[in-house]
Amino acid sequence: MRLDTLSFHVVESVMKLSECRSGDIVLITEIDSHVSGTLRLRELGVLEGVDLKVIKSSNPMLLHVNESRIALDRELAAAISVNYMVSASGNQTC
Amino acid sequence: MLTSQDLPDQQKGTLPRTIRVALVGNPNTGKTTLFNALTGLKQKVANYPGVTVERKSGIFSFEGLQIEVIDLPGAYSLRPTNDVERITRDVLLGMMGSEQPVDVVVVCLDAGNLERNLYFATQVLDLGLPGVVALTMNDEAASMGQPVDPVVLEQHLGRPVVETVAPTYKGITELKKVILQAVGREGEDLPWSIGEKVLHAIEHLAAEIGKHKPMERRILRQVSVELLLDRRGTNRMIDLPGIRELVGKLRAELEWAGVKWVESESIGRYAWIKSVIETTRVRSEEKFKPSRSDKVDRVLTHPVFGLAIFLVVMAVVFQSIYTWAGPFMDMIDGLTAASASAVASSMPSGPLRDLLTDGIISGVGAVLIFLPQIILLFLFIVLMEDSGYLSRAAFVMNRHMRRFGLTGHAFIPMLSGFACAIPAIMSTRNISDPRTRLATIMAVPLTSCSARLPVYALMIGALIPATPLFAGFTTQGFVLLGAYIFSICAALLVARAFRMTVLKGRQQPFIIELPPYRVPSWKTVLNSVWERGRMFVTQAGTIILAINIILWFIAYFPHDNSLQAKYDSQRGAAQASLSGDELELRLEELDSLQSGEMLRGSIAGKLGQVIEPVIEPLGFDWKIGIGLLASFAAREVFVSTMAIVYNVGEADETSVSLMDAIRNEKHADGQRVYSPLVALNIIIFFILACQCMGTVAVVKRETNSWKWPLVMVGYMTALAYVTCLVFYQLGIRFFPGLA
Repeated sequence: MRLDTLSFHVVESVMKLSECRSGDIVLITEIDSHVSGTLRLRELGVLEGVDLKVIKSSNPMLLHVNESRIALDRELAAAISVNYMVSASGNQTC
Repeated sequence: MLTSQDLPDQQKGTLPRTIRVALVGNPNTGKTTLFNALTGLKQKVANYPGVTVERKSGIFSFEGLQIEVIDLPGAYSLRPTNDVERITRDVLLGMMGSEQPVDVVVVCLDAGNLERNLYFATQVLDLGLPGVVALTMNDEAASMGQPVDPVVLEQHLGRPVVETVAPTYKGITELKKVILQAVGREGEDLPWSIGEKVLHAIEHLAAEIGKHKPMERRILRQVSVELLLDRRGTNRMIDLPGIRELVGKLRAELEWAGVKWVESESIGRYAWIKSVIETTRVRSEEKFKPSRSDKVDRVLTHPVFGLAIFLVVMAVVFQSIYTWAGPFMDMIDGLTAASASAVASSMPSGPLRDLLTDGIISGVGAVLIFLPQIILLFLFIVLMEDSGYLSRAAFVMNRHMRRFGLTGHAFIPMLSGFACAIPAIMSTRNISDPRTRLATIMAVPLTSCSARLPVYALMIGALIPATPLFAGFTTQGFVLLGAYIFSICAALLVARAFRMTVLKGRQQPFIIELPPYRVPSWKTVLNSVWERGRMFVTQAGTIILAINIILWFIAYFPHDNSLQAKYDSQRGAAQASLSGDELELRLEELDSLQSGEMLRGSIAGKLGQVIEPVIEPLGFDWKIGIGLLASFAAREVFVSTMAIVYNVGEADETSVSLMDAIRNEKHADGQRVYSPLVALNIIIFFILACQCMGTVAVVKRETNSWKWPLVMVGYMTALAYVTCLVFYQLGIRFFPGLA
């Protein structure tokens, strides 16, 4: 995967993963690699171009990524930019 | 069937006598079950030298060859974030001095979680060691509608892939066969790409490191990837001359060229993994379909219900430890008494017989009697761990732990602390932030370990009435639960105090995987419980036995024979003038008077009397003082000490049991020594005081300094004394009924 192919996702309604609600399905567009903990998230499969479902928007958040269920601090989730694919209310945005 | 004769000639010549196999994989991939299936019961648990991570190995023979399997700690990545993952990296990279290089690596791959498992697998296979892939839980993946095709996976990875279902031994023979065939066959490079510029920088760095430390080409490359790309910096090769500077320069160059080097490894590997998965696994139609575990988690990870259920689980655990262990404890008690009287009747009386019966048999028996409770506690903890519930507990507890400056990760060591502080302190290695880790280490010894359970059981059994409260709970169970709640509160408050003062600092992010719920494999569970139970018994047989013998000596000597004569003549007088129950009572009274007088004259008695003024305001007398002194090295010694303290010179079948002795113990003025208040205060003292040499030693080892163990002993002793002082003094004023 080349990095420049990712850039086209970052066009509209960029939001932070920490702002998502339970049930949202989102596509990861960018991760701030300066935030500590993001490298471990990448290793676990939370990286650009991956879609995930927010199972719980509590703190810590609970994500469904590939086949894993990964819990992480909301603070850390704020380092992850996402685009909506399906919002919890059901309307498709992508 | 393949035998060693079928192997190609050039391979047969190079076969080492014992083939060394490393078993690696992500956590929760069925790796331990596979390890057990491969090695059976021929296992060995030891520690890696200098560190306290368990080294588990086992041996099996196949086709006339010996094969040693080393079960390396589960890891998500070869770039470690904690000390456990570091062991796995060090062994695989040949950086663990004590560990010979391995001949074959078996990578455990969970078919139900292929993407994430392949990340670590590709890192391991990139090392070029002969590799074999064990594909586990493909039956589960198939039932989820997305089975993995092992044949296609094998083509992609260029290494043999064997499907195994460990509990039924399916594929185990095949796996053994493939391991043998793999010896000496290095795998090919996987065709993923990290990007041209980053690759160039890695080659440059590898060439430079190779000048200082010659290594196999592909291992050298992996070391370079780690040094260049992982800013968490846990590899000491960075200290080779000029390397730190070179890494800085190469990173700056990549930055300048606009290359996202930090991200390059994860992006490159996952891009390749994605292409592999597309042809290897059937995709179920519905993405993000909630699994059964997800449905369970709606309740168990709920901030309110989840917490409530957790507390109920803990309450049931502690009540059942108390009730289920009963019959077994009676059995051990009976055996101890029987063997003591057997020895007593077959030996002439004298110091040696007293040492055997009072010192050794009743001392060890008094500790072993709590083995059933300890086994039950271990059983519950292992069940929670292996079923996947433990990480839910960490998830639910994270926000509560945060208030005390800790993370959900710290919850697991705290819970393990209920079994034993030593493995619990070792398990703080999962906490990557050093301050959080230190605060956890300082707090863990306050959690109520199993060595305290004998003390609680003795005090509660002897002095707390079994008044029914509700739903099968009694005051006894309630006090026991209370002791555990008190200890966890104390631990959390201490952690917070440390985090607010000497260990102030920003919180590290919390990341944890919630593995799918699984029915634990009984074999694996029993194996772990057996291992831990064995450790306890070994300890009871060595350290505690040694302390018991010393204690018996200082409680027995100087032995005044004129005392014996004096009481014997009084016994004679009683037998002449009294009969029936009156005689029995008088004889018991004389026995207890004699033991008391002899103990007072002994070395232990003198020591106890020296500290009596200090502990008197806590409601403790000098005999309890002996118990406290003796249990400084190990808490569980308290019970056996009290057995010695109350039974000196006395071990025939008429001797009163320890609990009765405690209930009947009186001060010189005829007042009872033990009241419910004193019992509670002893429990509090044992919760707060640092009475465990093993813990002190492990803290020294883990922190690599004498500072932290000393801080720990100091603060715990002060905390125990002050709390007990306040509790007892308030208690006798406001609850005189208990005193």
